Amino acid sequence: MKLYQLKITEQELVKRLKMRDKTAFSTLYDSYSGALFGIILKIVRTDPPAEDVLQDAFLKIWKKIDSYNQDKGSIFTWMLNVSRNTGIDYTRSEAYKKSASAVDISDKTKIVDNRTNENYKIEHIGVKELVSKLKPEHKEIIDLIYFNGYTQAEVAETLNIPLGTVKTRVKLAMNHLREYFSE
Amino acid sequence: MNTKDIIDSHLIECYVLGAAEPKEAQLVEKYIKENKEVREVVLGFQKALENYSATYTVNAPNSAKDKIFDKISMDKETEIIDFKPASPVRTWWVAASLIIVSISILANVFLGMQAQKFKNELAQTKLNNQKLTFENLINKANYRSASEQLALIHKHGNKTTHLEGLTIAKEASAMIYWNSETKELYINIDHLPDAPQGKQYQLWALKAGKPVDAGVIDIHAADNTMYKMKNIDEAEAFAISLEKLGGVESPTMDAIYAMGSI
Repeated sequence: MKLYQLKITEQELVKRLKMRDKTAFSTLYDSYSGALFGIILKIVRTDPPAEDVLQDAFLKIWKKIDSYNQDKGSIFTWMLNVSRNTGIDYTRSEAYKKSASAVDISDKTKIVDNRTNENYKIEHIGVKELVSKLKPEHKEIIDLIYFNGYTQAEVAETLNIPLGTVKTRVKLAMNHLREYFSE
Repeated sequence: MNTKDIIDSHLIECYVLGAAEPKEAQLVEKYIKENKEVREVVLGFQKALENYSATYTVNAPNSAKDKIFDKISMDKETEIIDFKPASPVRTWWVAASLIIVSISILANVFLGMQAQKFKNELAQTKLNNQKLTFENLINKANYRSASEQLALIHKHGNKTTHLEGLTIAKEASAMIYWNSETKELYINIDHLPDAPQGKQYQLWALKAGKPVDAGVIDIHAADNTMYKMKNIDEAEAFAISLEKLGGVESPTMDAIYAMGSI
């Protein structure tokens, strides 16, 4: 019953967003800005520029809401994709390459873990343990592709493993992730 | 490609991670539209990625929201208020306008209240929902580990041994699960004093008094979890010693903390 209601509300929310309703956009921001800021911070590593990237992402969400298609997935998935792409594009820009954050961390496989950040607000000790259930090599490959925007060929090169192994590992990693992270 | 082929391939996994080539993405999207089974698989992976992403949640800086809304307002074409030249009006016309304005204000107040209510309800629901989701996932994962551990304990050929603390650490205690058929070895630490800097505990299997390395114990606290150690072919007893990081080839005899025989 509750889930059903929530689904209606999400549909209602999307309907209002497509009508350029600012109250709906404010609700959307309040509900998802933390999650989106978290992954942007993981992608660009530091703030600044994380806040600017978050602003860009939300402006795109506002402007491109008409291109969101509910058949392809939830609004959260769509917003994650917009935010990831905005973040990844930023890390490939000249501005980012010149900035200190890119120089400091030359090893791209070392990925910042926000969960150690003091601002981390999900008050659940168990969440960290939950993530630790993922095998390190599975987490690594998901993070490289999903958050750093690597192609499979780039992953093969970075980790120095054959492309075939990358493909097998992607499949295993995602199935492993689904075991632990879907309700 | 039929439904099974596409599910068995790694195309869907690639697609949800955003690593599919444009052609591959088109193919997956075609399936999402036409095939319920593929659609369910895609949604399942997306949900898992949503929950995984949400573990990184960090509150956005307070200034961000206002800046975004400022930009949105600037972006929108400014509504132009059209002032018409004043013309003679009749008294009843003014009265009617006043009534219309009053109704309009009331309606706005009402709609504003409704919008606020909608907003609060949704934000609250989302917040509770995320928390519940994590609680649910954690419970599921714990249940899973517990079942796996139970299955291990009850496996045929399994031998359970309690390692008791020796004089240097009377309170030390651990359980050993060794399977003489599969040769698998697990340890569950009940209590061990904190290892000093640069030191680490190491497990040994003893056969005819001869110690065989069973691996270093890479944990910091008793967490009621069974840790897999090296496979052991034969054993009459097990012992834990404190050694330098990375372990040693044979145990330091005066640094044995706990021991137990099968």
